[in-house]
Amino acid sequence: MNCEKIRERTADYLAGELDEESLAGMRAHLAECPHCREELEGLSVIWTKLGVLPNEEPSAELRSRFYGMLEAYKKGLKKEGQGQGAKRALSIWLGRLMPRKPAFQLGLALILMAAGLGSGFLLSVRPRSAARAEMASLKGEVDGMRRIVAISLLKQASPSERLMGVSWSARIDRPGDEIIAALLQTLNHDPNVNVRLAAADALYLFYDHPEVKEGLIDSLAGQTSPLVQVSLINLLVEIRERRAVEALERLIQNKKLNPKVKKLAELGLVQLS
Amino acid sequence: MKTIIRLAGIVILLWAAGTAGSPQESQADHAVVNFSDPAKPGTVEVNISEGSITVRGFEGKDVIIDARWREKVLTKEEREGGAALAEAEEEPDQEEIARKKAQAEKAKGMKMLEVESMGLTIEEEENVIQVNAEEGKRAVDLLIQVPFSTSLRLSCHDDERGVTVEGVSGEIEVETSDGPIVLTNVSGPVVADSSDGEIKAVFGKVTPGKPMSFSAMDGDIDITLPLDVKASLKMKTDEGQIFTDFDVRLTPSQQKREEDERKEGGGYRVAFEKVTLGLINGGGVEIQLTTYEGNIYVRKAK
Amino acid sequence: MDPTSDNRLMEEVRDGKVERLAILFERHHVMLFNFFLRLSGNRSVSEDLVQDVFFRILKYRDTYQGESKFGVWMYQIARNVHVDHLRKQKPEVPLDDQFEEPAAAEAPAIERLTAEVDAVLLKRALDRLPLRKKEILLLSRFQEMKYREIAELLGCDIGSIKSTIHRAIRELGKIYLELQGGTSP
Repeated sequence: MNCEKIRERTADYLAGELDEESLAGMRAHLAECPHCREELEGLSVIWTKLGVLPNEEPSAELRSRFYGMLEAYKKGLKKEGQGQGAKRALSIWLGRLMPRKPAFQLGLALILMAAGLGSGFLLSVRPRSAARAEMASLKGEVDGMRRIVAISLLKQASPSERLMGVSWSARIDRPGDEIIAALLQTLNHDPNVNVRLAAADALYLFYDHPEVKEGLIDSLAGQTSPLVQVSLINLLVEIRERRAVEALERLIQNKKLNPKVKKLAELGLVQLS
Repeated sequence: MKTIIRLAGIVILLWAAGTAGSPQESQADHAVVNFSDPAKPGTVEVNISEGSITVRGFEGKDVIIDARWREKVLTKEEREGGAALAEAEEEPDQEEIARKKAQAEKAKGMKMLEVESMGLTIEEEENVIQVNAEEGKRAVDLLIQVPFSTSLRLSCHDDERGVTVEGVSGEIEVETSDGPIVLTNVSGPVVADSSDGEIKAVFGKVTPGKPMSFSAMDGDIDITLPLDVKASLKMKTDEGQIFTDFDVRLTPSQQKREEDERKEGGGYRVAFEKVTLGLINGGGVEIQLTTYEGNIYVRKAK
Repeated sequence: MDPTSDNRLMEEVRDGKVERLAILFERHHVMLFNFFLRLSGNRSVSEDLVQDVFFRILKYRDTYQGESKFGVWMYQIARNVHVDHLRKQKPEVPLDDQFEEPAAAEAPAIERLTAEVDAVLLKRALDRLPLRKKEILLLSRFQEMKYREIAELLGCDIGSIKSTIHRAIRELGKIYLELQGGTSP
């Protein structure tokens, strides 16, 4: 089986409709083709996730409306029953609209569908500006949710979960003051070196945010871990933050400073001057 | 409910003149601690300043702690320093001199016995067992056996033995200052850092969805992952190199993200990420590897 | 034929026992509701459309053939109802107002929160699929129609349905990733 055939059989595979032979052939190909494997796995994940989307319940009104309508129809029928002839004429007329010959019916269905599709297709191509505005509002909503999750994760006892919190914060499109403050707090006070490192990296992504540059510079003085110091020095040099010069000079004065960090700080000074 | 156990290792050291032999291992202490709820996975936290920690997972419900204290051998400097210090005391008080003289008189003909008590405090509360070493002069080597699914929080500073963990599948948080960190047959998530030591971790399997991070200032970071792991690596080393035998899909180490949203009232932002990002098997668990001088090795389990 | 099968029931409705429609309603209205909800994003509109479908089933009961499976026939009607609805709408239909997020509880469990975010992102991504791909995907994945039936419903060949499914999932995956902002959590 080749990649092309895999593609053809994907829909059946996902729906669980493949026969034993095809399934075996597919498995054989996948064992050797990382590209197809990766693609199929990605598609399977989405397919499965779709399956987990919950079904919503309609309101109670829907049922009462239906039964109301059914009753009304039955009553109407009774009345019409008195006018049998009219009903028959109606049904014949309707019958003509929906001819009983299958081919004809299909053809009519096609026309109906085509018309439906046509307008549907047009309607789904929104003007560009509307689409972008929609995307922006969508992102805003997603940001809001991410913010809640991130803040919550940053407070957990497990360092792995705090790492996840930093990771979620980094993905927020427009972090507000709350997220920046939480990241700075994590950078300065988290008991775990790894989490502080991750926070520094995340803040780097937001360096155009007003408090971040100041926060990174101030943080340098308080850090004792050489790895975090290294990270901060590198970041401050990268964003060419000249206000960091003073902080670097002070750092170099520190007698307890790891000599490697000292060297890096001196290099940094040269680059920033 | 808190359970507190104190292990008091009281050892009598004999310093015969000139006996500065190899450190003897003095008596060991042994304790068995239960979790409040043995049906649920527990956590063991160990904090010692000098010594080593070895943790092994085993098929049981309790935690078994064995502690061996090392004899502290005063180095030549320390002994001489101690003597010098005694001499350098300014203006020994008359009373002080008299007292010492009296003591010397009383002790004439006897050897001085140094009695040190140094202990471990073990506390259990709501499935968290805390083992703390009192700030003493003696280093302690701990051997702790824990149920497989236990989570660990380990911290120690030592220059040889560091921390070793074998066969534990819970979350592992480790930090050392000098000693190496060696983890075997673990599944994570692991968050580890060492100032001077190296970090080695061999994963039996990897728990998906839980980020991990390893940082070492001087030492190498050497991790082995299962063949079929799905991982997103984030690697940074200032002076070292990165080696791997995985098929890693690298994204460029300088990733420029440019977004121009000024027309929509947003800002203009350019952000760089100074890391090497690599995906294994399409990406998945986020693993951060940071060193300053050390190398980074990411190996396939054979 | 199984006396309680959809087909049988509908034939009875056609032949005069209209109260049998109630059984069909009970069997299908939730799925129909969700079908419309995923297409339109609006709960009350979706309820109207469901009502519409059953109204039309009654109105056109005479035309029901035993040849088409009831489900196929019903979704034919459902799609028509939806199309008519779209025609009445103004082009810029705000799509993102109706998915009601449950209010955040005081201390949300991390797993529940992340799962909720995930579900919302996926729903949003689904939303952004072009109509035809979305319909075919919904009919297959949610209304559980076989590809053969969808092909019959839409009047095209089964091969094109299968390849549309493939493309739809792929596109959905891309949009979903984009909404997540890169590699997952």
